[in-house]
Amino acid sequence: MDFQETAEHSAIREAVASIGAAFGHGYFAACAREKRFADELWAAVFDSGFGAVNLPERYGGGGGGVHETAIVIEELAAQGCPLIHLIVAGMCGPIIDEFGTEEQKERWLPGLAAGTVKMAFAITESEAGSNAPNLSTTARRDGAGWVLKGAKQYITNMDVADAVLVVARTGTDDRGRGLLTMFIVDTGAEGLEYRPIPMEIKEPDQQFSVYLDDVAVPRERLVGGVPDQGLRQVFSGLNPERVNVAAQANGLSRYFIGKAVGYARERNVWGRPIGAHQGVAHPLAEVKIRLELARLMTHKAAWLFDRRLPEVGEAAAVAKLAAADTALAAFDQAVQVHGGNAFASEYGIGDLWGLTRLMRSAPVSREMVLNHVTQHSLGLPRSY
Amino acid sequence: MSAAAEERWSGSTLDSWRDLVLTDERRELAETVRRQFAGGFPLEAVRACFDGGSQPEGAWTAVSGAEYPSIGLPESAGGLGTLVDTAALLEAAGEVLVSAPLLATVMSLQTLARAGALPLEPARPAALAVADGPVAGRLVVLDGVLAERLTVVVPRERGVTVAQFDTADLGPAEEHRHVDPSRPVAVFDAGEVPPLSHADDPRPLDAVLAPARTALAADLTGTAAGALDRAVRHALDREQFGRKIGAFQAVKHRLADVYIAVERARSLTRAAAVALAGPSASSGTELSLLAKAAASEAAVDASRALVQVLGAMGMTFESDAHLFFRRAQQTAPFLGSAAACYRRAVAARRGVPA
Ligand SMILES: Cc1cc2nc3c(=O)[nH]c(=O)nc-3n(C[C@H](O)[C@H](O)[C@H](O)COP(=O)(O)OP(=O)(O)OC[C@H]3O[C@@H](n4cnc5c(N)ncnc54)[C@H](O)[C@@H]3O)c2cc1C
Repeated sequence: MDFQETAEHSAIREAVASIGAAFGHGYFAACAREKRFADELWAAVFDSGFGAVNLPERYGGGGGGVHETAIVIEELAAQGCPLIHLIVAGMCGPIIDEFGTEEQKERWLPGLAAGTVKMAFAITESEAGSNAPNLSTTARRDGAGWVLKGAKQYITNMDVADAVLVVARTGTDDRGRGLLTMFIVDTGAEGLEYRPIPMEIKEPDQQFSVYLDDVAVPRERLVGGVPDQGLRQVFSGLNPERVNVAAQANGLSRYFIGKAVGYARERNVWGRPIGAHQGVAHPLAEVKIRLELARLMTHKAAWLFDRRLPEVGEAAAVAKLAAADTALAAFDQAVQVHGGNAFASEYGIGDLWGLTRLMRSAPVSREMVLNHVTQHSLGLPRSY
Repeated sequence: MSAAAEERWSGSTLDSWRDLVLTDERRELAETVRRQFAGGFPLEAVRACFDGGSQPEGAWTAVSGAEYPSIGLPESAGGLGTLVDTAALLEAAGEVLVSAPLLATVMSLQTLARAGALPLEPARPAALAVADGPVAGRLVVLDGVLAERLTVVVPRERGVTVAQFDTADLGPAEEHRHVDPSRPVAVFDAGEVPPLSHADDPRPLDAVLAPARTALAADLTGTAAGALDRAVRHALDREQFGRKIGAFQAVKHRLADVYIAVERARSLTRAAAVALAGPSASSGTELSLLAKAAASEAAVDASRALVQVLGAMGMTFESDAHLFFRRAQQTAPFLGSAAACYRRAVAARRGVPA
């Protein structure tokens, strides 16, 4: 076992951290206020070759895996730039790479790897969230192609995406469960409409409701070319998504702890820095300990995923829960340490509440992780 | 506040909030009692219970000789004072972990008096049990080893029956070795035995148990306060890194949290006692449940804090920490865990069956 980071990984960390630092949380917050995608930061990350470290080199990617993506996401978050779209991208590209036809890979991966093409991911519906496979958007055959009908919600970045991976129902198996299929749909396709959802998350990435009103999708847009394979494809994307969310949460924890520690060193109230009071310092030490535990688990989950080991399911879920809970605790302590200043925009803390809190609920909620552990790790009866 | 809520809170909870502050007279009584207990019941006596496996008989003689069990009983039974005085007395006794069945006797007498199942015999050690079904079969009794009288509350479809037994009629009790030998648990079987006396009470179980729960809350509050007092004294005494460990916020904040828990338990207990002693005892049931829950939590938390603050010493047999820890752990679950009491308090407030 080896806990020392490779020189290559440390180099990625440093380089990405310096890109993030050059933009900083002020830039991120300004994009959020102006409700615009963080184009400049996105371009800087991709132009330096860190945007698609997980895609194969022959398409212009870095040839790495989730481990590398997680490093990039963590470092940007640690600089106060937790972009949701990096997580979406960390899911879409690998799905096409693993399941797409040769033609689909040629068509989409180079753009995704360069950052010039963006893809959204749409599975959630009003009646299908935690129970995502229970979705009701349908795809029916129409001549050589397909026609999609239904509605999706909370879909990130529809406005800046060129295409969206839509999960639709293409039939029912003999046990009555939906057979799912994934399609690559142009965001400008006829019959497709999207509307922004006003959110309490102050982020450059916006969320949308998506309406598919008999959208015609050509045959070659069916991921992998064969229908009814969607469930497997979705599942393959879940673990990297969880690892990447855990990495983003860990980065946020570092950001909050860094802010709090800096302030606790500087701020003098009774003739000495407030960080000299154990009542201030110990809770910070506690979140630091929790962060280190969460990071270890996140690394383990990434390592398992990149080696295609089956234990990744449990590890990714555990890492996600631990990292999300820790980030929220770190946020809370940063607020406490900053006193009234925590609520002033210039301190760059309060605006991150929405995103930090989100991590307990999405993409998989705390309760669903506990369900996973009770059922699969402990062997207790299924509760739902 | 809604009109309904306002009506609930204004006046009816206590006859007067001023009752919560002890009068000079009561404060003096409480002080006397505390001094007397601290002097007369040293912790060595509690420790002695570990050697004998049970309580020394002498402790009961001292407790009954001072007529403590009569405090808070009706004058017709030779009593004096009210339940507020009982609570002050039991808190002082709880602080020094008195190793005589004082609490058990008081709970028994208070329950008999509440239901009118006479006679009341304060000179005899006694104990209280609640049957879990319509017959008083096998009964697990806290501090029941020395009991000469056993009061059993039997739930009925409507209200309860309170029955008083002579333990001599019940056959020998099974004695159990428990974590706290200074308050040993006995198991009796009262299945086929005729009681000495009994009375039916149409009120719900929790209303009949309210004085006993308040007494129990006072005892646990005392245990919590005693543990806190020792922890504070140690924090002021022990030096590390050139200063008292009480100067470290990690220590003092922990103790401040315990202090808040103790004060909460004390206030609720006193409020319950005042409500039950007053003319409009309607809120007494709810308050007795809240007091019992708060006091259970405080006693367990304070004794844990004591163990922690004492460091390695807290793990030794020589230190007194385990005496408080054992007392809190063994007594706190009696008459319902904190969680159960909170639940029942909600039922009492809403006037629905618990
Ligand atoms: C900012 C943001 C971005 C998002 N981006 C995307 C995106 O790009 N693409 C996409 O497809 N989706 C996206 N989502 C949707 C997200 O994945 C869902 O919100 C998430 O899966 C939870 O589903 P839900 O909101 O329907 O909650 P529900 O499933 O309705 O759950 C509600 C509550 O009930 C609990 N619950 C449900 N079932 C159980 C059970 N069996 N046991 C115990 N508790 C249970 C849950 O834990 C939760 O607390 C996004 C959401 C947000 C807020």
